[in-house]
Order: sequence, then C-alpha cells, then structure tokens
Amino acid sequence: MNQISRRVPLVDGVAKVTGALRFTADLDVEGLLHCALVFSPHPHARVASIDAASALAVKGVHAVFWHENTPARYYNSSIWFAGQEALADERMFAPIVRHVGDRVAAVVADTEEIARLAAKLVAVEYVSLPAIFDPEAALLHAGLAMREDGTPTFMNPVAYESFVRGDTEAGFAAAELVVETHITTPRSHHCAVEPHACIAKPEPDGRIGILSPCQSVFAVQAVVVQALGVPQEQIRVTKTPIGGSFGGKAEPILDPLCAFFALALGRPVMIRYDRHETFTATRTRSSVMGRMRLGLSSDGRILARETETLVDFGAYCTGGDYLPSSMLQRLVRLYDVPAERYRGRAVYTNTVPAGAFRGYGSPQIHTVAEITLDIAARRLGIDPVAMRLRNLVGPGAIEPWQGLDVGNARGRECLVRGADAFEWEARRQMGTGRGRWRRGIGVASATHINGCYPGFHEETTATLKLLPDGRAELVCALHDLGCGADTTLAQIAGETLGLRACDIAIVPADTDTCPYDLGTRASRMTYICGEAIRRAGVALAEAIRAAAVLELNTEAAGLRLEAGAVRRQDGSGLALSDLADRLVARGVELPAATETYRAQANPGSYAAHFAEVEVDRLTGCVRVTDYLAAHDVGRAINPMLVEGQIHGGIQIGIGYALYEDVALDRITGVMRGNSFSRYTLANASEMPPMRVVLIEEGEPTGPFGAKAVGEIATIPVAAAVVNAVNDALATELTHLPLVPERILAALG
Amino acid sequence: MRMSLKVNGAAVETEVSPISRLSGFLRDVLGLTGVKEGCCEGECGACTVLLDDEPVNSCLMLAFQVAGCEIVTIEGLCRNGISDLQQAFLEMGAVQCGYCTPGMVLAAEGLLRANPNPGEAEIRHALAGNICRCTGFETIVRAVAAEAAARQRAGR
Amino acid sequence: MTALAVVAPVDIAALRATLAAEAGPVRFIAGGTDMLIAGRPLAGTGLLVDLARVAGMAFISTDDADVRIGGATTVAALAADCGLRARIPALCEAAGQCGSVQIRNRATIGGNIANAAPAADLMPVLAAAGTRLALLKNDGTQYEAALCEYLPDSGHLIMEVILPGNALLPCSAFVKLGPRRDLTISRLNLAMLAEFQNSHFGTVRIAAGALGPVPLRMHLADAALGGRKLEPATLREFLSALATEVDAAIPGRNSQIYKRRAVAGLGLDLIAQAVGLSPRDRLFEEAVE
Repeated sequence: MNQISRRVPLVDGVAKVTGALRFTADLDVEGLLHCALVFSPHPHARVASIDAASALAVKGVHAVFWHENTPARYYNSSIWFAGQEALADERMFAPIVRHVGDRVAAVVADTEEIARLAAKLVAVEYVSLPAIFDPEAALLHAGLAMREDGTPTFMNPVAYESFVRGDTEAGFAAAELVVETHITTPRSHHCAVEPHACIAKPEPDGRIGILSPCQSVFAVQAVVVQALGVPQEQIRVTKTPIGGSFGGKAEPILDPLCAFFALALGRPVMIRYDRHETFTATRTRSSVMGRMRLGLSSDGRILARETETLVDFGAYCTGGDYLPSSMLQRLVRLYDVPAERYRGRAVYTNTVPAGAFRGYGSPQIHTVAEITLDIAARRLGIDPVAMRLRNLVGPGAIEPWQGLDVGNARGRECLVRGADAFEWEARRQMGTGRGRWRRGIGVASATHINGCYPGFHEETTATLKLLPDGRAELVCALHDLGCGADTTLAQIAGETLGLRACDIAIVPADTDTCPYDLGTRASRMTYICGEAIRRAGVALAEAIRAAAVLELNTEAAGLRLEAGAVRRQDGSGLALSDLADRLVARGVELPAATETYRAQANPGSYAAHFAEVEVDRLTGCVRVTDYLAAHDVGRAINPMLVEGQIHGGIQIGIGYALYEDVALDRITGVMRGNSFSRYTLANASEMPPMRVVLIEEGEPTGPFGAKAVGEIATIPVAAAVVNAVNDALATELTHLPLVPERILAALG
Repeated sequence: MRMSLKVNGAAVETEVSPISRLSGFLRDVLGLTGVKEGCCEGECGACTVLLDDEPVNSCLMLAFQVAGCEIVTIEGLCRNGISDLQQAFLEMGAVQCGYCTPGMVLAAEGLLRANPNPGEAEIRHALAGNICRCTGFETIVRAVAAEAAARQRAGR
Repeated sequence: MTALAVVAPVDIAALRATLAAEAGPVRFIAGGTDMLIAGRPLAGTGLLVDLARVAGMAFISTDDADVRIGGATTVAALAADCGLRARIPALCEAAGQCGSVQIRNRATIGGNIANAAPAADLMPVLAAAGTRLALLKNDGTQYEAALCEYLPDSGHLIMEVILPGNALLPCSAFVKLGPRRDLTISRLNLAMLAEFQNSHFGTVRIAAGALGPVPLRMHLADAALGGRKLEPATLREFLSALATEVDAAIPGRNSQIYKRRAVAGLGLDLIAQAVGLSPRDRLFEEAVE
C-alpha cells in the first residue's frame, strides 16, 4: 500500500500554517457591503412597529430590512435537498420573535462599523407574549404542529417516536435489579473558532452566487430557494474554507438573508457574526431529559430497558423532529437487549434553536444510557467493563429497529484492548483514596452510524480525471470541515492511481460544477464518499491502463500504476504526465471515470473510552487526569487524522461533562454563557494526556475497510467522565454538566 | 493620524484611525488576513501577533499604540519559506481547520523565544490563551515540544 | 461632535503637559485588555492618552524599604520580577495567574486597579499589603491615597503603586478558584501576608476577591491564625472563620452556598502555599477529616 494507513499531512496544510488560506471574512470582494442585525431582547414578543428612519439617515447606510420588506416565506434551515419534507417554521424576519436573539431587522451599509452603529438606531416596539423555557411545561402547550394551510402553530410535541420489542414487563419481573434514572444533558455550543460568516454577490447573468463555509452547498441552495422563492438555477453556492463547524455551520442561517440583500440591492453583501451573536443567534446542541429503567440479571445481563426522552430544540424545529428517532437508532445498536420500550418526544421552547452538533443525538442518548448502566453495575457490584462485555453486540448483529446489519462491529475489542492499555484492573484495585482528593475511573461504550442509509437518498457521485501534468482531478462535492476529509479522500484516490494524496486536485464543492451530494453529515465522508472515490479511482486506473496499452504497445493485464507512472511488470513504463502529453498530442481526451455509489449498508462504528479523574471534595472541582480512547474504525486511512478526530472529540466531550452550557436563564430566557469568558471550554492546561487505541479489523463494505470516526469520537466522553466522578465519590450524579456546585451538593 | 512602524520586517508608514483596533488595521489596511478574529475579548487568541517579540491579542490594542514598534504576523514568520515550527505543526497533525493556527503558532513562537526549553506544563500554560476546538491541543503541545527540542539540538 | 483624539506621551513630563493642556474629558488606555473587550462602549470624543509607553511609568523598585511599582508596569513584568518575588511572592503569583500570556504582556497593574473588576487577581494581594497609590490629577497635582480610598471614577491617574515596607511580611500567598485552572475568571480568590516561624503564625493579613465590589479584608480569618500554632485545630478555626466571612459578605446570594464551602479548600491551599507545604500534606487532611 502506498497511501493507506499513512500519516499524510493535510493536503491544504501549508496554506493553513502560513495563514495564506482565506476564510470567508478574509475574502476581498469588490464593492462589498456589510450587514449588522438587530436581535430580539425578548424571549417571545410581537413586533408592534419598526422605525428605520434614524438608521437610514446614517451616511453609508443602504437599506434596512425587516419582516415587512422581506419575503414572508416559511422555511426550514435543516433541509438538504429541494422538496424535502420538513416543518417550515422559520422566516428571515418574523412579526413574532421567539427567543432572545431572534432576528428582528438588518442594516446594510458601506462598512460593518456603520452598519453596527445604525443597527442600534433601529427603533423597535415589542408587545411581550408569554414564554416557555421548560420542556416539560412546553408539553402542556399541546396541539398539532402545523395548521392545514401549512403554517406552523409552534405547539407540542413536534415529534413522537416509539418502539417496542419483546415483553419488557416480564423482563423487569425476572430482573434481580431494576435501576431507574433521570438524566439531563445541557445545551452546549459548537464554539468553532471561526464565527459565522457568509457572502452573497449578484452575478452578471442575474444569478446570486453565495460563498459559504457550509457542510453542503446543495443544502444551502435548497434552503435559500425555499426562503426566497426563487428558481433553483438562480442560486449558485460555492463552499469556502471553514474554520470549524461541528454541525454549527450545517444549517444555512445567514445565507438566505445575505442572498436576499444582494438580490435586492444588486451589490455583494457580507454578514459576519461576532462571537456573542454566534452564541446567541445560531444553534446549540439540543438538551435532553432522559428517564431510563433498566432490569438486570444478577450476572449483569440486561433483561429489559425502558427509555423516555424529551428533546428541547428551542424556538425553531430545524432538524429537531428527527432527534427522537435518531437517538433510538443509536441506542439499539450497542447492546443486545431482549425487551425494549422507547418513547421520544421533541418540543419547542422560547430559547435559541438547537441544530446539528457532532453526533446528532448520540452524545445525549449514550450519556443517558451509559451513566445508567454504570449506576447499575455499581449497585450490582459488577465491574462496569465486564458488564458491558456481557451485553455488547458483535459482528453481524441485526439491530432491532430498522433491521440493519451492524457490520464488523468490534465494540468488544475496544473494551478489552482499551481496558488492557488503560490498566483498568490495576487502577480499580487502587481505590479512590481517602482524603480531600478522590480518584475515580470511568468507562463508557458507544456506537454510531456510517451515513444516512436507509433513511435518505444515500449515494454520491465521484469523477476522477487524469490531468495533463500527470496528477488527477477529483470532483465530488466534498466539504472538508477542517478535520482532513479532503486529505483522507485524496489518499484513497491516490492509492487507486499510484499517486500521492497531494497529487489529487480537489475541486471545491460548488452547485454548478459538482453532482449532488448530501454533504458532510452523519459520519458519511470516508465511508460513503470514500467508497465512491475508490470506485472512481479503480475505474480511472483501468482507463489509464487501457490508454497506456497503445502507447506502450503492451497488454493491459500486466500494467500497474505506481509512483505517478504506468509500468510494465519489469518496471519499465511511462510517467503519467508523459502519457497525458502523448494523448493530448494525438488529440485524444484524457482518461476520466465517474462512479455513482449507492450505499447498501449502514454498519456501526464502535468505541470504548476510559477516563481517570481527580475530584476535590472541598471545592467540587474535577480534573480529568488521564484518558484513553479505543476505537473500532475498520481501518485508519490516515492514523494521524483519525487520532486528531478523537483528540478533538475528547475535548468537546470533557466540556460536555464538566462545564459547557450556554446556561439559559429559567426566568428571563437570557443566555448567560454567551462569550468565551462565560462559556468555559477546556484549554490546553485543562486537557489530560490522551492515548488512542485503534482497532482495525476492516469493514467489508467500507473503502479499504474504513469506517467513520468523526462523530463517535465525542459520543462516549461525557459518560466516561461522569462515571469516573461517580466512582470517585460513590455518588450517582446524573445532571450535566458536573459543575462544582452540583458536586458539592451531591456530597451533602 | 500618521504612524510608522515595522511589520514583518518592512517599514510601514500609514494613516490610521485613532479608534481602529490593531487586528482590524492589520487585516483591513495592510491586508494581513492571517490575523484572525474569533472573540474580541482576549479569550481565543486567534488574533495573536508578536509585538516586539511578545505575543499579544491584536484585538485588544488600538493600532496607534504600536507606532514605532515591530509587529510580526503569521505572514512574517514564513518570509523565508515555511518555518520549522510551522512544519512541525503540519507534520504532527497540530493543524485541522486552520483558523486558530496562525495565532497558535505565534503564541508558540513567542514562548520559544522567551523560554527555549519549556516543559509540557509550561507549553500548556503558555497556550492557555489560544482556543483550538479541533485537536484537543494534544498534537499542538507535541509539535511545540518537538520544535523546542530541535532548536536545542541545533543550538538555535 | 469632535472626534476622539489620541496621544502617546513619551515621558512623564510630556504626560503632565498633555493633561495640563487639555480642557475636555481625558481617558487613559494602557494595555487595553479591559477597555477594548467586545461590547464595551468606547468613547467617541475627548482625548485618549496612551500610557503604555510613557518612559518612567513602568518600573519595579524593590531595593528601598517600600516597594514601588509604576502604574503602567505590565502584569507579565510583575510575574517575572525576582526582586518582587523576594519581597512579596504573592503578587508575582497573582500576576502569573492573571489572564493569558497575551493578556499579561499588555495588562498593567494600574489598569487592574482602575478597572475595579470584583474578580481582579492583583487586588486581594494589594489589599492585604496595605497598598497606597500615588495619584495624578489633571491639574498636575500629585497625592497619595490608600488603595481602599481610591475612587476609579475620579479619573485620577495611578502613577505608582506603593507597598509600604512596614506592612510587608515574610510569607505571602495567592490562590484562586475559577471554572478552569488557566485563563479563568476568579469565582473566588484569596491572598495572605503572614509572619510564620517555628510552626507559629505571627501577624496575618488575609483578603479575598470576588465577594463584593472591592477586595474584602478578612479580619476573622486573620485572628484565627494570628499568634497560633499551625495545627489541625487552628486550621479548623480558620476554615470556620472563612465561612463566616463569606456568609457575611454575600448573604442570600445564589453563590453563597457554594462559596462558603469552597472557600475551605481554597483557604487550605493558601496556607500551604504561604508556608511552603504541599496542599496534600497530612496536616491539611487532618484538618478536614
């Protein structure tokens, strides 16, 4: 193998370390106008009047937009293809605002400074309406979510999912121990270091070009089309480099506004949020209240499980109605549970909307399930690792909800090899200590999906073409979110063609030049796009060999591609650039191959994480002192990037366990954690040493055996840390994050 | 007002607004967009530049305050090709999305100029003002440690 | 509306001349690390005077009886000064835990005092040290005032921070408690100056930050340690005094329940640092058993 399993540096890395890479806010666009928004200070209010005169009087202001002079069309920012059925409840600007930070108006001006100054002069009168912040109270605001005419009612619940398998009552009756838990997870924020930004510019042909750091250019196009009511062909979207997303930039939030302003004014417009706006006016992770009832035999077998989840997705549905079912999907593919009952609901509240965030429900449901399992293990006096091993599914298991094969599932190897490397047994023997500082260890298992199969049109098309200089061009609507997907996929392409990753020229995702793709979501890049690219690569290699047969006057069978050349068995051959030259000279089109790959499976990725913590019983402060993550990745195309994903996932997960919370005030609805100084995330000093164990047993349906790692990296972290804290203190803490107040309160 | 200073080794004389932040001045007037903006409160460090060899948050300074000083941005660190520190970041996977990278590299460079032989805890402490949301800091710390060791060996 | 004018005096004479000549409102900027934080209004008119490079305004003098520190001295300079560490290590400790490297390189001791943030890390040390300030009025007159008498809104410029020699004690310590260990805003911080010899405390002065708008001198805690032997019984009385002080400072606040307990851990860390023991020493474990 030439490219697979290699620690190849990022193909776009030099531009990143030298600062040469231009992010959206760095772009130099001729005649660019700037925008500042006015946001609601009320959690729920009618906008009684807007007086824009003072703002318009400011020199340099071009326009002020609000609900009366913008399209009154409902849209859903989470759709990813035209016509996708989704609860359309959001507008560019609505006459009723639904959360503190909801959009009220926008000022477009020559400079951002002028726009921000003028935005302060927009006079808005509000009439306050009753607001709901508590998801259980929200259930009482009950009714159908949509009227017959398709307009939203904002009534609850919006989603309801249930599932029953086997006889849970019999299971609980036979159980030696029944554990019941009530677990809550916080609203956490993505905190990508690049704040949200977007540019839209009118093209000479009357179209609008959008430059967006997005997760799918086609999703941006679909949402903008829905919001503006323009023909799809009028909107062209190009992905710009993205300074971190984690789901936060999955939904086009600024794009519809930006496109409309550019269309209305005939000038390019940029909107960029500052950090405060990125916190209060984009998306968060949904919070979940979970109740779980677990019945176990004396040896730790799960006999029955009942789960109830209540998802708070805030002021607008976005993709929140999928959460109850996506949580169920991930819950049922980890353990073999003979009797299962699940009910999940999702509700509106007058808080900042929730949206996609790394794992999409998986961190929430695994936090609920893995903390509960640990509490059960402690009560039964069974080693939590042993108990998980007793219940984990293995290769070829069929999950009970959708009947999907979980593939070469290696969750057991993650636990066994992870526990061994972490010296789990020895650390358990050491105990927690006696004094002010207590030490604890925790483990959590997790699984996640690989793509959207069977739910959506899970397929993608990749084209690889030989370039005149002997490199290859890849067209596949790729959206690297910064984790190195482009590099990984270039390695896959390179492997098939005897080229290096850096020899693959990746065409930026663009609705005009790329075939449709669902985008970077659902852990599908390596597994789905990677397989399409591998197939295209194999086909292109075949085409190159066929072309070389004539040039080298030999037989195709013996030809192989390596080191940028096509070679005979004796090693003699032709550099691809020479081959291309000859083909061009003869007027022959350079070889190209296009492959469309439609997924046939959705195997599980698996992981087991191990955390050691030290808790100060006097201050309630928790410090994660050691961490090990074992991951079943099938095969690591680029171990360095795989480890990087895991390291980053641990950082997000530790925060989720210990301090990350936008802290919405229960009385006012105001976000307290609305800046980096008020929203704590782990910095370099806070992070423990991290070790990674990779289980590479190969997934037959994945490219070169690879499966996903991006999302699962963060899924088990919070539960592992919480379980370690509960181990250290002999507590049963279940409300995240474990801020010092909660720790001390639990100690009595 | 007029101001002269040295930026990335070159003398600059320019007009500057008295209320312009250094970060905005470097980006908008000098076009040095390697200077990133992430929070404007001194928490994320994306706007870090070296001011007379010391790392500072360029968002929390007014441009006129650097008159007569020497500023180094990420663009200045690789004037003679990519620096060894940047190479270490690249090869050790200390870069993912790249948005925090310029500030992170400059904070690390500032550390190595002040303390050529930092321990791991010192590296982490020195980078506490730079947020990375992608890497968990693990490979960043390793890259800085590796570069420190390389400089020690080379007697730089 | 006249636009904001800025000026960067080169030395103290130029600074005085600038102030004397200005009839309108004057504001000062030094590090800018508080003033320029997003969302804080920046004055659009008047005169803004840059103090960061006024020659003679940044210095640390520790050779005489009183320790004198120029108002524009950076927090990084405080953290790194050996002379200062010999006289009052707590101030170096507090400076070293203040903000990030980038912040410390710009933030100044005068700014830390003038911005009057309740959680400011240098403040409890300065309060415990009986600090006096040399202040300059716009009319050119200079006067001295105790730190606790200084009014940030007066607009008087902090030229020097004076730690009177007769108030410095051989041992000192500073500890803080925030949501994380590094670059964190103190939820509670404690500073202590003390005499300590042969396992006995002599004079002790303790101050706390983030329990009110200004640092709180903790006289009950002083008394619990003063003249006493360092032993579990003394520590228990000390911790009880700390809790009483917290209760008195923030009665009924949401944070009271947490802070009155957490102050015990921070209090033990404070003493450990002051007397050069590990906080994990058996002595401290015994005190809270």
